[in-house]
Amino acid sequence: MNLQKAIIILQSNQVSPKKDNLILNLDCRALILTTFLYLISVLSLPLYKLDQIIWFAIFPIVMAPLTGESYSKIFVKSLYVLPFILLIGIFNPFIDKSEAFKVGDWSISYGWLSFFSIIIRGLLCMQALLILINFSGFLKICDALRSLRAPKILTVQLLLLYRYLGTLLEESQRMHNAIVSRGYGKNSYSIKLWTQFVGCLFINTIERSKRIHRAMIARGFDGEIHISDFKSWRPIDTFFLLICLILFAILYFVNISELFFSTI
Amino acid sequence: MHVSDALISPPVAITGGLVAVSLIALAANKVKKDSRQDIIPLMGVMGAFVFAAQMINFTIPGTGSSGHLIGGIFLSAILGPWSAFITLCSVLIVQCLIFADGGLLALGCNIFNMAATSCLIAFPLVYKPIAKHSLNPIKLATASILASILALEIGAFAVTVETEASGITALPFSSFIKFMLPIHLVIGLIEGLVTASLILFISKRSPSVLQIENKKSNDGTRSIKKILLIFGFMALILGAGFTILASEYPDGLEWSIDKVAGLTEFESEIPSTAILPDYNSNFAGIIGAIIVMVLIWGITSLLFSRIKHHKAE
Repeated sequence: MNLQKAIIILQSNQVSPKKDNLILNLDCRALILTTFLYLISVLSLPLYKLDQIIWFAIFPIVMAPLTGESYSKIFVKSLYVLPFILLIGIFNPFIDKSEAFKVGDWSISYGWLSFFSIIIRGLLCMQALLILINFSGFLKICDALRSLRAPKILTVQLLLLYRYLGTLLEESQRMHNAIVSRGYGKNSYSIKLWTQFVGCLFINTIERSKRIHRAMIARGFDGEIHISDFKSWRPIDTFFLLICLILFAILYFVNISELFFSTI
Repeated sequence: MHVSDALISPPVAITGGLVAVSLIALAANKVKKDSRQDIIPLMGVMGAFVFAAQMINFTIPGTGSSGHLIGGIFLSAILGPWSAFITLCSVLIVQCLIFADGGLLALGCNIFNMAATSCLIAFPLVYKPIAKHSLNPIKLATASILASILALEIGAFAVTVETEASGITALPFSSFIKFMLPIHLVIGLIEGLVTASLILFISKRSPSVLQIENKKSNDGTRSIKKILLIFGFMALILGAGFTILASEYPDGLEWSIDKVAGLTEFESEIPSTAILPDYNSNFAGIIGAIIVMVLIWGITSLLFSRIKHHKAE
């Protein structure tokens, strides 16, 4: 990821989603818990149950449009996770060559089955995470963390980091542009140039933190940053959680593929 | 080196999560007692600084490729280990929840692999004893390089153990470790070099920043060693407990051991306590599931685009 891309992603996250449907009005804790349950269900299934794992795609497929993004966009974004997964999974087909099933004359090994299973699991987990991010925005998650009794210092740290991330990324981008425009076409950094660049950014950062501290004291900072958009848990949140729980239990305990397609 | 959700099993993720949550609670307690008045805004902007610095890649000499700072040892040298740990945790949480880097379930493991290894293990055990309170360039550089290498190597070792314990890769542990450690030795050396160059730059331009940490967190080193021992034991006990749990699943540690031993028939190895009766995926089932998912995708897309269209009208 480069500076420009990071700034774009951050800015898109800072635009809060429109609250025009039931899902977007849910308590963030409900979706965090649902996402956890989803991830645990998907990852608890044995690697070889690929036919069962695929059914879990129903959650991101239905949830994505409800949070205001098409599933195709979520799917494309989730492909970003592939390189590291491929690196770990690619050895499986070469090591585990025992036959799982046959397709015509072709023999499909357990290695290939587990390889595709790793990829599908990786994509599904990433899609669930992207939906959570899409739904909540960072401030809601911090608020949910606070109400889930996360240490106050961590939530304050997260909010401050979120607040100053954009500022520092933009400052870095300005410094980077200045270097590139004076670099006669050279836009890479040697370690020496990188040190000077990041060192200057660091000294500016320290000065900035002193100014922030004085401003916080002047405004009566009491160790907590308040978020105005606080929501309490409602029956609809419990209902949503229960529905998802039932869905995941069905997908986990019932092999729909075997029920409907095993005789084909 | 972010571990993805797909590469770990729930028992391993829960173990990692519990260890991370305990360490965060402990660190929060330690930071509360910090006498520095401006530590909270300093941590906030330093987190943003490390994140921004990670976006600026430098060219690795002689390779043509590029790298970036990770920042654990650097943050510890400026803020002290506990504050640095919280700061690095917040960077990892932001990376996960805004930039979708790593995974939600794997967050605990990532916090341990990247933040705890550098701030709570390599810094107090290597950087502090070598650098001590001096601003001697040779000591600072040696401390930075050795601490970074140790942090990266322990992190890589942890990734290997987590992936193997989850039974995801068919690579035997010994081959996997031979694959991971040399790569991270080089990454650690580069991380050490850039950390050293940055700390030396700061020691010349703004030495008071480094001296603050050296003077005030001196009392923390001893207690960190004790706490590290306690947490080491805790992690071992938790890990052992969850490994027993994992062994009830066919994709747990037992599967991994079976793979190393060269066994390929799994049905006979699955214990009778498994929740699900085991059966293999059948090709028709896989194709059927894919077709149904594509159909549902098509229907939902059509449905929601119509709803949007109606609203727009």
